[in-house]
Amino acid sequence: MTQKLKNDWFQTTVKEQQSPLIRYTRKITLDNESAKDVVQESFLKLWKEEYPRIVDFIPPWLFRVCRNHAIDIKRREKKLTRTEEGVELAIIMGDQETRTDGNIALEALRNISSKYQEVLILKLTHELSYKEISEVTGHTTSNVGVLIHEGMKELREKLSLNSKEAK
Amino acid sequence: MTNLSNDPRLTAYALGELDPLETKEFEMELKNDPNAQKEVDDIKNSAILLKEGLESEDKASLGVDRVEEIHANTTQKKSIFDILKSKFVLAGLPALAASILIVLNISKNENAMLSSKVASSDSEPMVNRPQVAEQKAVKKNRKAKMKKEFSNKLDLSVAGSGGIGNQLSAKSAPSRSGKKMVMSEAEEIVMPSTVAVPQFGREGFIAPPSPEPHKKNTEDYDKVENSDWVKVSAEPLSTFSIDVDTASYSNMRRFLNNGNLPPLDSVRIEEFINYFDYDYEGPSGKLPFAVNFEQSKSPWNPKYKLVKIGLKGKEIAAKERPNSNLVFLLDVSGSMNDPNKLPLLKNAMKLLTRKLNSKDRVSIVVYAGASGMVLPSTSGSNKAKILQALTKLNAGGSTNGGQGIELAYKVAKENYIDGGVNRVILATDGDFNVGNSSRGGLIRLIEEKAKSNIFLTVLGLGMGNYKDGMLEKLADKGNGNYAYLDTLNEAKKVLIHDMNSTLITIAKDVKIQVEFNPNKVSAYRLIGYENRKLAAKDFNDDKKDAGEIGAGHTVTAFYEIVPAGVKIDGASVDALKYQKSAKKASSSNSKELMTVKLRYKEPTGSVSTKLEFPLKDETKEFSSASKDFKFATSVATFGMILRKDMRVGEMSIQKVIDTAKDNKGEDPYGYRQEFIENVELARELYKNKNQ
Repeated sequence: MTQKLKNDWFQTTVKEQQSPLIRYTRKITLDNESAKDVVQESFLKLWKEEYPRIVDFIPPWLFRVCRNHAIDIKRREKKLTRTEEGVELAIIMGDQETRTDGNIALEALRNISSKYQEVLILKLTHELSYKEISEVTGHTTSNVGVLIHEGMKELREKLSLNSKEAK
Repeated sequence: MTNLSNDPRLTAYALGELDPLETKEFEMELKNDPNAQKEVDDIKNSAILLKEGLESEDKASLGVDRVEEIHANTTQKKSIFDILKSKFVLAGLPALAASILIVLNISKNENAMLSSKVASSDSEPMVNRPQVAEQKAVKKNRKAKMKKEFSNKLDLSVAGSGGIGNQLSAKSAPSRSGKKMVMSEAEEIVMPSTVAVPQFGREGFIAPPSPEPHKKNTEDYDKVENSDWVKVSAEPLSTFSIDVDTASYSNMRRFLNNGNLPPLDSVRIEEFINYFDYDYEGPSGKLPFAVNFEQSKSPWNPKYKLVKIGLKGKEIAAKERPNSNLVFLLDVSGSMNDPNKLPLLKNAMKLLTRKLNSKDRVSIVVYAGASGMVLPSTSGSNKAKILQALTKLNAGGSTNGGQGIELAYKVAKENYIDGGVNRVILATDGDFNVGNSSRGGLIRLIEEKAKSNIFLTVLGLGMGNYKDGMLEKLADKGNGNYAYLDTLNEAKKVLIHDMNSTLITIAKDVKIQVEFNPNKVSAYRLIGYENRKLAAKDFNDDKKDAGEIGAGHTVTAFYEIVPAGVKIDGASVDALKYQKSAKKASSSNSKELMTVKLRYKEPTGSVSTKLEFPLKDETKEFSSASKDFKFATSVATFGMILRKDMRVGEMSIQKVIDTAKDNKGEDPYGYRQEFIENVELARELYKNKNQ
């Protein structure tokens, strides 16, 4: 791969991926600035990779790198809770995020079990496939399928509850 | 609750995660379970709701400082290694030497790239050269991009490196001394830390190494060779299909706007020329199009001639637009999620929707992992319904193009309007990856579907993963036209300003065959149309597919001609020993330069009609040619320069700009002005590349 091609590809990736990565990462770090640090770091790591090796896996690769890095930071800050299932993301839809949007779906998402939140976000905001989500999170692909299925179920229940309340 | 309710496949199916085989299986089970069907809808709706909610979050950005920092940390180090690895080790020294010489040659002056001479005397150490050139190219590309942004904002001409350019270069490259850079970069080559050793996190997620890394190339262009000179004595007939596509032009513009020169194979000169309308006389009587000729001395070599063949399709007034049955086939797979893909397309279609009326019927079929009908055939006057369907579109999942094509043509057939416009409009980035995704398979599918008198428009979108060759072939084989939408403005051009020529086909399988008079012409070359050439016998073969012409469309082709008795510069074929001299054949007294024959079919016909137009030889200076002729020539020249075709003689990139400026004409939509800006941008890129 020529230098120019790599450079083009890299610039495009930085341009396109920064927003989704920051939005995802800050849900773990619960802090915008450290999320940006993490994302910046992940791009520098990406540059060091051999392009052809990871070209088909760039978004999940970046999510994975950001996730691990963000969890490391949280671990150092001892803000992460540990459950039997391993590291669980503390409050993925962080409290400090504005709640004034009044979006019932976001509201419902905040109210479902946190183990479902991340996979749903990766699936629906970032369009990752089950397989890619398994690469990001370390769950098996079929486990991702189960989590999303159950998560959607819980979400739908909350949604129908919400709409009933609204009525 | 049904038993499927606890099956994770239910959600996977609703979210488009199942592969086609699983989808089929699951649909069988789903058939017998109305409750589960309801749940599928419920999941889909909840997913859309949640998605919209999540998307309403603010966009996040790293900010200029961080991005600058990333670039500062990435553009300098590895590059040297990569360059050395790719150019030295893999390509070998000779290739390196050649590339340096060409680069150096251009750097001497901006016009030198047009010269066919390659400097061979440069004997400075080679190792340092490519790094500097490549390094600078990278930096300067960015600079040019910034410059463009600046000049757009301030409405400053890019011509001449004005104050802004200097400021920028001072800012972005503080050490402009070439030698200094060479030294520091050369040092970095030997530092082991700069070598690309993959570093994996402890968690170790990394894809297995690809056995064929070169296959992972992102954008895809079919190779196009520049046409060679053809001797009339060897081949008196030149045959080609018309091409009304314009994608190559807008794709080039996208590259320039991103600060890069377009890849050579992405440049199809005929699509550049045909991007613009020319003021040709339209047809009279029953003919669907008229043919216009013009000739002058060639601007590329005054010993030669340049002949233009211009077709003009019959104009159809907006009021007379026939009833239309339009089926939009939209790729909503995950790869379409970029802002310049599906969102751009949705906006473009909203614009088009406003132009529709009760004469039109619109259907929308989408495809990703599976395909589905989003909007059944709906009257163009029911705008709210169409807009609502558009708004709901979201991208996600894999791409099963074959299935979508089947469904779209089926819908088009069901709503077929006799004597009206029946057209499938396929919008995609061309990355088909599920189901019938082989190139041959899809092309055969489209070829088959085209027989049903349903025409095709292909709209290409996006970048980074763009499959140009594939899409061009689909449009070519599917009785279609092909445009690339890089911006909303381009979408306006294709779908609004040129709506009639895009949608209404007035003649199909239009072929051109030119017979040259050996008394007047010794050799010729067709400019562009490289992948539209046909065998001489294909001209009369009605089974051979060719291009379509739309209402009001202009199609232009140029031949450069070497008059009889004039030597071809740089030609290398020996004179034929056993062939009779053609001069002694018939027509020795004819003053005709050539005869142009055309064949076309009515839009729904299957038998072609032939037209013949002889062209008399004239001598005219290029300077006294028409404005359109000169403007089109400048466009062709620009294409040749981008394709590194050296046969442009004295026509430098600066002369392209000057010629285009002098011959801009009326330019109601500003397309020609934009062409000039594009060439100026390219000129800066060439300059920067070689500083």
